Amino acid sequence: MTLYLDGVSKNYGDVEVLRPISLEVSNGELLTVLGPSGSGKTTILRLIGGFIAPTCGRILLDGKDLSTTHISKRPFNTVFQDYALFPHMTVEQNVGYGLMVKGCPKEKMKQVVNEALDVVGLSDFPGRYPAELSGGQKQRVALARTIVCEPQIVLLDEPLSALDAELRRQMQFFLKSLQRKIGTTFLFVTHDQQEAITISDRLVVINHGGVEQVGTPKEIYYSPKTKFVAGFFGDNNLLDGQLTASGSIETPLGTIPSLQGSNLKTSKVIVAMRPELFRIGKREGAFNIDCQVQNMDFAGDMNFLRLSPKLDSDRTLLVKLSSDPSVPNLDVNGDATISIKLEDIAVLDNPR
Amino acid sequence: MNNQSTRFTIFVCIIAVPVVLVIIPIANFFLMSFWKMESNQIVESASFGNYLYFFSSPAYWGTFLSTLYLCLKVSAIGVLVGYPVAYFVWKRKGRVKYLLILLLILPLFMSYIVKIYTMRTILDLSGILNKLLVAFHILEEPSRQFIYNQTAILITMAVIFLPFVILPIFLSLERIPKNLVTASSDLGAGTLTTLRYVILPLSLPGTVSGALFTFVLALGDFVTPQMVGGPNGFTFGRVIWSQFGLAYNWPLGAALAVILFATALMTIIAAGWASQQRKV
Amino acid sequence: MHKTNTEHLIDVFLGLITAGTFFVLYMPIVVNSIFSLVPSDRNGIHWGEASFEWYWRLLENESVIAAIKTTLIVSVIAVAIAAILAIILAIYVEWEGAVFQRTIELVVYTPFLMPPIITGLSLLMFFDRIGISRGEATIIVGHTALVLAVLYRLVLTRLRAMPHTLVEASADLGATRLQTFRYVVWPQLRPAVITGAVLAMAVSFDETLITVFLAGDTTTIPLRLWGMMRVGFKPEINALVTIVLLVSIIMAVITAIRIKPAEGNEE
Ligand SMILES: Nc1ncnc2c1ncn2[C@@H]1O[C@H](COP(=O)(O)OP(=O)(O)O)[C@@H](O)[C@H]1O
Ligand SMILES: [Mg+2]
Repeated sequence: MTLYLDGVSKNYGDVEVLRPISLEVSNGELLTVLGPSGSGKTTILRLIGGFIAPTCGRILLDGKDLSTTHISKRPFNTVFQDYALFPHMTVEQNVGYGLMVKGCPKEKMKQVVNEALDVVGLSDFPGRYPAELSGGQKQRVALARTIVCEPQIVLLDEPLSALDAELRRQMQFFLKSLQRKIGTTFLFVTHDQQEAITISDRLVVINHGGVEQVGTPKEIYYSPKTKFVAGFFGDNNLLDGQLTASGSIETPLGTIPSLQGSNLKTSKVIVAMRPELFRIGKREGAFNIDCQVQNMDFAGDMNFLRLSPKLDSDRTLLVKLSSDPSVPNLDVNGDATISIKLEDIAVLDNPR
Repeated sequence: MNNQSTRFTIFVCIIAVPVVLVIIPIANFFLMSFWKMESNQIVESASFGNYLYFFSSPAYWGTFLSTLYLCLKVSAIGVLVGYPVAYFVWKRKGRVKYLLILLLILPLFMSYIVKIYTMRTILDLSGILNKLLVAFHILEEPSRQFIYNQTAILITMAVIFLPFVILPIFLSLERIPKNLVTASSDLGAGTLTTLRYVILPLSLPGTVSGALFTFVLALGDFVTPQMVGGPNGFTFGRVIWSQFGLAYNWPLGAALAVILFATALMTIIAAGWASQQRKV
Repeated sequence: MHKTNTEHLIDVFLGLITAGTFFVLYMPIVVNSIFSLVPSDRNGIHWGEASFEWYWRLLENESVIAAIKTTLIVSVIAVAIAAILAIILAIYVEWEGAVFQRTIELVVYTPFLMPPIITGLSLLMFFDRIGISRGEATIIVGHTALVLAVLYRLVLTRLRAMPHTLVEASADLGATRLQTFRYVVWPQLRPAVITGAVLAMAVSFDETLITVFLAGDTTTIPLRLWGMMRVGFKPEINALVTIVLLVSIIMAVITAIRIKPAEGNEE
């Protein structure tokens, strides 16, 4: 199975909420659409699900145009953000709904429903009503309800956003292992970077209705291609830079020698350095920055270090150090040199 | 799939019902108001004759004006009695409050004809009202001043339509957040001050729209005047009604109804406007 | 909470007005019920002769029985038609993004907002124009127009409270439109429709001002009562009146009980 979005866009009146995007979803992967609220994530899901029609472009399933295929006939099923469980039906009836409307025999239905409830770990209360379930349980019912239909893709719209932090982590793990187990393609929508990185095979980052970058979590995290992506994950240190003729980069904090493998298109660039990739102390062949220590916060597994560079003391750099008890504390207001390996520095075009 | 035209057909079918039930009949009687009666036959020739007749005969527009005045009094009595009652009930708590308001609107469900009829027996010369007044020595002997005149119509309408005023007032009181009232008394305001500066202004829109709707109800009523008004108790509604009965002049009746329609429409628009002024 | 003396006085004063209001509102009903059981004439009330006699007499009165039948037939048919129309209209207006949505609503509410005499005489002239003679059918049309507003309002409120994702979920799981209505929408609407139907029945049972224009030779209970009352006093009337009151109170209580929990749930 391959789903292909071919230049799909969506306008509401004059407002373009989704710029034309092309995207391939392949079999058995867990693909996440990540973007801030209002960026058009739900719109993408609803276009694929068939709840709304694209303004331009086509949606192709194994090469077949889906534009005339009604929601009820598309081999996709959605897990809604508010679960959308039928309040007047029991768990069992909810899960069996997709089979019931297709006229599945009672015996078979019961068996399939029980299996699905087993998979999501809810076989104990098939007779309960949605109002009698916790958030996480409702979530599982919604999942079970879609997988009994054996869809080719499960579409999940921020399924975990209503859950508290602890439950959320459990459900992330559960979702991922469920997806592995049944081998169905999941298209997952979230605004939470951490969640996206944790569970996805591949990520699509969108902003203002346009795709910023597509890639594996590692690519997106360590090699952002746009300023938005670079700034979206955690507390990245971003610097403006100027590409010179020799290939080195001038920054306010000094010159970075020429980097390999970067194919930059503009002379203005952005330099991104992840806080956890710095080390204390000067190193040969690395980018070294002399700083004054502003403060150091102990956060259990991490030390958060804030420093102001000597060359540009209004700026603050953030460094995360794994907290090793043997490492001595740095003096506040004392001097320190930090270093980052050249291959750990990400440099990206700054078109503006 | 011919989605567009299917939808259009469905749309037309759905719209057809209210249109046939409401719009066409109303348009029809607007049209008929320009026709006239000649030797007991409706003649389809357009003129303003009926309207001119209305404005040139004091009997008609006099009745119209006195009916407006009567309905105004009905609404005013409704508010004067209804507001304190709604306020009192609103101040109760829990079940008592719910039960009281229920009992106050319950009479709305009871047969309209029956209520008028009983009001007639109560107001009659040998009715309970006269018996009570005589028993308390307010009157020397039973009086006919409560029945078969405009007073009888006023009393009866005021009683019958009272729940229609109480309910909207109560509902607009209910919308006032309780913490506003608490805040006001927290700031040292007494019950009366709170009532004057917080509760009255906030419940005013609901009260006005309730009173206006009662006004419309009273305006169109023709059974009450017919049953308790006697030979002198003519109201505009009753005049229209008689054009469709013994007087048999449908075009004139239609013209009068157009005037009633316009008046009611303006009142309803005013009521709608009033209820939009609400701040809570 | 402490109450000052003035507050107490105000409370007592308002309480008295409320008590007076109750007295005025309920006296007619009490008076009626007594007179239906106890015979009275010019010489006074004969307390000793209380009986259900007049209720039995009523059963022998053919014109009353006919009126009851007509009333029931009219209200059942009118309410059924109005309920179906209300559901279709509400779904159409709420979900299909109907064109002229406001206008449609205004038209639906018109018979309820305008004085009944307008609805009555406009339909009378309309039927006369297109040559339909008056009878049960014309009364049914008038009542349908009237109670449609009630049912529409209740159905629409319920529909708005229902998340639209339920409908989408149903379609998503493969249900046809009809299946979605049957298994998802209808169970959600049913309570509102039943409440609305009871309320509409109560309105229809009592409807006089429109009916009188559309009845022709047919009579309904209110028209029959009006006729009987014009002729003059008869204990029979009181018996019929008491039955009518009882039925309407029962309907009112049913409606109240049904609406109350709904109010509690809608935060
Ligand atoms: N039916 C609609 N009409 C007009 N604008 C809409 C509609 N649905 C969504 N939008 C707009 O489209 C943009 C993207 O919405 P959505 O896809 O729901 O964002 P997300 O799910 O990423 O938060 C938002 O700015 C939203 O206001
Ligand atoms: Mg969304």
